[in-house]
Amino acid sequence: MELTPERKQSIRRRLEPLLAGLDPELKFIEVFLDSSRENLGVVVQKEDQPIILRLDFVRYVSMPEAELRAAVARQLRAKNILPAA
Amino acid sequence: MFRWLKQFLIGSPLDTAALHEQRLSKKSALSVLAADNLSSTAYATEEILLALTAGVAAGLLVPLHYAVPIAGAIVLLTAIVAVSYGQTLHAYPTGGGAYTVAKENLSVTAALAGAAALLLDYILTVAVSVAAGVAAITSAVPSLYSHRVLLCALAVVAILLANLRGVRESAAVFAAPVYFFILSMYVLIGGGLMKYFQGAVAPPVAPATPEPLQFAFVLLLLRAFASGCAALTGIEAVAQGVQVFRPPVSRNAAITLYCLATLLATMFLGVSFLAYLFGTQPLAGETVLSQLGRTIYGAGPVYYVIQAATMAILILAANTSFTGFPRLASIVAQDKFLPRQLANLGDRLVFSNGMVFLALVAIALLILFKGDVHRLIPLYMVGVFLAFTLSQAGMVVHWRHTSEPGRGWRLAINAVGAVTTALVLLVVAFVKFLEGAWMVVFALGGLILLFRKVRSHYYATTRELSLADYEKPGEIRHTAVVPVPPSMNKAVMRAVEYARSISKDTIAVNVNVDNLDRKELQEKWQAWAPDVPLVVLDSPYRAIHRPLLRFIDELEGWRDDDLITVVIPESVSKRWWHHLLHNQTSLFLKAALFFKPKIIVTSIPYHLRK
Repeated sequence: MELTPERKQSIRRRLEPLLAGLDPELKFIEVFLDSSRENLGVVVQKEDQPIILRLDFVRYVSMPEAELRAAVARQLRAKNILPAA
Repeated sequence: MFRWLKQFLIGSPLDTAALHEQRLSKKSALSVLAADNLSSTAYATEEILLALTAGVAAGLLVPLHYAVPIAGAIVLLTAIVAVSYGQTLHAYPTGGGAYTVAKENLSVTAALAGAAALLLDYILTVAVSVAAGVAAITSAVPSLYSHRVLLCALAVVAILLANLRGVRESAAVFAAPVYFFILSMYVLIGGGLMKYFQGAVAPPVAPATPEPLQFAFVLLLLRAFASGCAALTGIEAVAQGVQVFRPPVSRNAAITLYCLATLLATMFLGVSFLAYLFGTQPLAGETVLSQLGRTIYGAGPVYYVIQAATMAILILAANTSFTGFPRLASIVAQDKFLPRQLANLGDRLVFSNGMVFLALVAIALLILFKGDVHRLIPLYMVGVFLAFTLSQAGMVVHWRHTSEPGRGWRLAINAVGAVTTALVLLVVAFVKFLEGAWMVVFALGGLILLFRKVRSHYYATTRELSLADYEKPGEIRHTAVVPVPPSMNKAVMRAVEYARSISKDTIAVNVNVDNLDRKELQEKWQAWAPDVPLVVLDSPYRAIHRPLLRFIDELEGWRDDDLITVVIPESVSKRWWHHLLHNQTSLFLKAALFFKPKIIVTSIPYHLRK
């Protein structure tokens, strides 16, 4: 399922600074939505390692920045991209 | 192209119904199954003389005439083994030799030891016989000596191709050289005896006073005996390949076996006696048979004919292994101790996979040992006598549990065979241990372990695939991933269309090796597949597979209970050589994804017309 270019752009604008704040080497690559419209897949990359973050699409829209940041950081830590807290 | 070449080399496929037509008469079977055993007369005497000469070099006074009584003892042993195997043929007309007999009467481990010994024997026979045949050629044409390994490999391939054509065709090809060798040996022996008794050569020097019966002397005689026992190798081929005979198989096989033993005994004893009469000693650059031929007939046409016949039989001895090895391997594979491919009959109703495997291993050995026959012979003597002993011991147990008429004397025959071959096994293992027989001991252990590993794998596979505990899965959810190149084409679009048809969650992924403009790539993609997201991955180290495989790994864990189908677009060239002009990215990708459990790989071919 493809998101509209505008929606993609808005997600990118929101996530790019957040990712840079967590690790300047993390690069936003792409975002997509699954057919259930529940899971938002955010592809980021560090060097040659792609990472897919899963966000709850419905909650994402109203998720406060701090909570979003914590959710992203938790997943990156679980994948050993960020050091353990 | 491949099909044409295959048909040209091995012929058209044969109908399974024609299997019975592939059975052989006694005469044809003798040529197929006897070559190995009879060929050993070309080097067994030399092996005895070499062992005795080593004693002389070590300071022992050992006249070479001891070769004659040693050959006599080996002939007696041949008779015992042949009569014992005659009983095996009677009891086990389905073949299988030591493996079948030991499996049914002793234990699975004993059967596996027998099978390992025989399989190893067959492999080494190919290597030894071909190396010996090429040695005969290089004796006559010394300039070819430096090419001996290549000649050996070519000979193995030639025999393989002949055998892949089928049992009957290989028998037709190889019958003439086998019977020609038998004739040439009797011409040599007859001519030699005539020459000697006509007084054309001086009688042998009276044997010097023998060494007192000390340990080193006895050891030397035992070593010579053990070396000469090479003459017995291949005698079990008849019991192994009994199914190649026309009915009544047991009777025909037994008659062939006794004919074989008689031929072997007369030829081996004859050559050993001639070597004594003519005072022949082993030389580095010339075989004993070559020396005898030259001494008796001069370096004329008869000598060259005998040399040619010897060379032919030595190489064709390998042919027996190409009959025995695949049959035994197929029986062992049917019991799931070897890969099941070895149990499949090929196009020409022979076990082609076993034959190809045998040829490859034999060539590897020849390369490893640089085609040196003497270094290979000690390797298989232990295995041969282990198989003899297990087979005969198994037969003793067999007769104890039957009530057939004549079981008493049959049991006695096999008991004598078992005890005799067990004693020879001990002697051979003792004297040949340091010469390389230790390798066989380890190889046998390794093979038995391998057989058991193969079987436990098949068992575990069957148990895991069993429907006994099958639970129907819930709805299958999966994501389709299409790896795409930077430029769109028909092959890519076909793969995308297919992916869309099987999953609502289709993602295209491109690895941007050339660092192209991402925006431009996305725009081109949107024009053709706007509903499929394109993920353009960076590749700072210019690798395609690494980022792609890591992305697929990530996708695998992205949703719970998700299956990933990787849909690979492939353009298929019309001509085989066109494939060489394209990247083999999809091939490597398929290989890399093959072992990932939750990943399904689908290839979408686009067949090019030009």
